[in-house]
Amino acid sequence: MIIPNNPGSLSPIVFSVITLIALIIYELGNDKIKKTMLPFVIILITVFLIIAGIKIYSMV
Amino acid sequence: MKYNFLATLLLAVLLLELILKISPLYGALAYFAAAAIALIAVSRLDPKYNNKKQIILLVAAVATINAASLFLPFNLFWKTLIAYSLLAFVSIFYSSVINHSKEEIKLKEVFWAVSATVILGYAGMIVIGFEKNILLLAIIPLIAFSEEYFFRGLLLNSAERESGKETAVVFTAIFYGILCLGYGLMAAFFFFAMSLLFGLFYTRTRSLLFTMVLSAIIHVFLFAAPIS
Repeated sequence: MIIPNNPGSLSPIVFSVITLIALIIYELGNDKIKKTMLPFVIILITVFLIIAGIKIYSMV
Repeated sequence: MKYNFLATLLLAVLLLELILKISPLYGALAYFAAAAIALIAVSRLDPKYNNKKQIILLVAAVATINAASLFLPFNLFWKTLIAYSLLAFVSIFYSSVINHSKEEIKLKEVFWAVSATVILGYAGMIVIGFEKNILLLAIIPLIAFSEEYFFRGLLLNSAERESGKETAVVFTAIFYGILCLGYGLMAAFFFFAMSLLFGLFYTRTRSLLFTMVLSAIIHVFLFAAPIS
């Protein structure tokens, strides 16, 4: 089980900031960095979209 | 000298996992920071260090998924589903390094492997005591596929090219054990033993499908079999 045994109670704001930093590094980096970071950026964006979707859905 | 690189990686992951145990927020931040530094460093590495590059990328990928799943406000089922889907994606993304073999598996090996797996699964059922959730049964194929494809197919093959078969098996087993430290020391030891066993079977048979079936058997014991 690679997932930690911990309730997911960390702030989504922190995660948004981390995703933004990753996107900035991806955008400003050269081709090598872009190639290396692609799967990691996809992981972060996917998790970000899931968290954002849940938050919006629970607000309605 | 050739073990220094793998030992350093394991020490780094152990340190991060200990920070995670003390404080989830600082642990997650440390994981992300370490992954970012590793990625930037890897992108500057010379092509002659391709194996090292591959191993660092794979370790950083698991670290990122591990840290990202801390932010998911769901129960174990949904967290597992999302985390393992991401692991499957990473595995397929890096799938070009897998060393496939066309050797046939002998019946004797199947017998010993299944027997050892059932005994280990029964021991794990008693030692760990996961919440029994019948829904988790539905995602066992996903867990078995992504774990085996990633840890045996990708990480073990890359580590084997870097420093030999035995070291690679022990490295993947310790790495997997460290990642499971959050479930307690006994659980970490159980997962270490499981990974060691699967590593041995994989290096003998070179069949990912075979270790996937074994992994599915163990997870059925962990998630679905009642203790009493």
